[in-house]
Amino acid sequence: MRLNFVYIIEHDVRNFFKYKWWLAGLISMNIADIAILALIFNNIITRFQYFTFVLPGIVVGALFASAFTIGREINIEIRRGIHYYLLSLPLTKSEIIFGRIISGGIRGLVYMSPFLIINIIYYYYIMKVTPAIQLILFSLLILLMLSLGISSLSISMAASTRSFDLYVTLRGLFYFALLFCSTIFYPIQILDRLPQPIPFIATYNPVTHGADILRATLNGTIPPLQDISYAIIFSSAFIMLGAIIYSKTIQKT
Amino acid sequence: MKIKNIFLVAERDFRLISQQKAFIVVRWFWYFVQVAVFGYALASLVSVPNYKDYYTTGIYIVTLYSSSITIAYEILEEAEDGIVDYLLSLPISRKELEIGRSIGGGLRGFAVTLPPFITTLYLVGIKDPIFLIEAGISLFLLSFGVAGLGITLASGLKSGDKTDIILGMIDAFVARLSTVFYPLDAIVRSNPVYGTLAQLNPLTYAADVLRAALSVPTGISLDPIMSIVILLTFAIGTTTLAVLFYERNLEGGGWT
Repeated sequence: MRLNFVYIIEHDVRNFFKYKWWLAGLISMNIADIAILALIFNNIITRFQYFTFVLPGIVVGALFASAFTIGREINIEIRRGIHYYLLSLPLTKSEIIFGRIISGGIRGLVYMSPFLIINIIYYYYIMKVTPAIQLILFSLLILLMLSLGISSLSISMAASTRSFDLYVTLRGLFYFALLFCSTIFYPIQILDRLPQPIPFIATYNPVTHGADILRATLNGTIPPLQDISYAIIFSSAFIMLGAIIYSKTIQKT
Repeated sequence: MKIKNIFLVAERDFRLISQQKAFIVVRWFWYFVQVAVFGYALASLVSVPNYKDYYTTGIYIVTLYSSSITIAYEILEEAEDGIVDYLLSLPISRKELEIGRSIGGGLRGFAVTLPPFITTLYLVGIKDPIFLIEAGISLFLLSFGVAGLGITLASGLKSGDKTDIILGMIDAFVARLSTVFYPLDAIVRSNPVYGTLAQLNPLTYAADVLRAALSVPTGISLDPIMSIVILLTFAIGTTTLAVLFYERNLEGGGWT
């Protein structure tokens, strides 16, 4: 495999910033979550400092939402037959597939970065915690892996169906289940008290592990090995699944 | 202005439900996940009495809002497909067309959220059915007003991108700056500016009227009659604006 997939990545990352309406909505939502929702809940949650807890969660939520966007474009391409054009380019199928997966992952990491910087500043000035740079870089690597997994999951759904309605439904179901059954907004101990399958989804949800890894990092501690292993295993599984489904879909005539 | 024409337009808008199956399923799922996970999880953390019921009623209001605002996206799609020009060619005045769309959009917003509404009533419990009539009126006024807001934005901006950006931003702030998630006293304590904005937000009044009807404690209580008057003002205001923009802007193409 040559480095041709870089062209695909460049194309997809550029496209991401063309969706001004989507970006404006997402940025507004994340800012509103930090500046309004987190602040007000901090006043009515007395057991722990909710603002400090939810801030890293919002960063991972931002990564999740932005990495998920790649699926929408891939579903449109498949419905309109644009993937035939992609296949006609001087690129191998593997370059196209991994280019798309990687670009989805990079979108997540790029979009998340300003919010991560806000978190680091908050932890440094308010919480008086300075996480080691090696620890932040290591967490970024794991978060990139997580972002690749999420982008692959989104690609799997997008490539599974040509029906827009079915895709929108699948996307909505997975998106909300993974977002709310995770530790973005509340600790795992709280989710464990809810009826099944909520604790089960929360335990194996890679978004949970992403949020917990970032929380540990920002608190200046080494993230638990269990979280790292889960994030890597589930992301790898999603990457393989995404690659297989997307490959099968685009080679169909 | 002929009532029959308004009814015809409203009926057409109402029938558009059949084209929104995926959207409806996702909205219902969103409501159920919000209630069963987010609401129940936070209920064990917050110091708000009876928070499960508080949240369940609040989240229904957001579901109603998001279902009613979809009319803006439909108008944009219709402009793209040339259906706006077809509607303008009908022997129906612009006023009849717009008022019919607001009523149809409002009724549809309410109809597609009936299962979440019934679930809300079931989970919270009906204490006094008479108050439900009051709540029903306020919910329809909210739905009608939000549909008017959607029409105003779509026909005023005449641009898919601009409307998407504005609606995205409104969506992000409208629920968070209302009493949907938290009581008014908690908002005021956090930031008095947020408190003022929440008191200007129609979602606050609709949520609190529904809570009053279902006897859910709300902290600082708003007068239900006053709340209905505010929602009525909102509905009439957005519909008047929608009529103005619809009449002036709809003709002559120029959609981007």
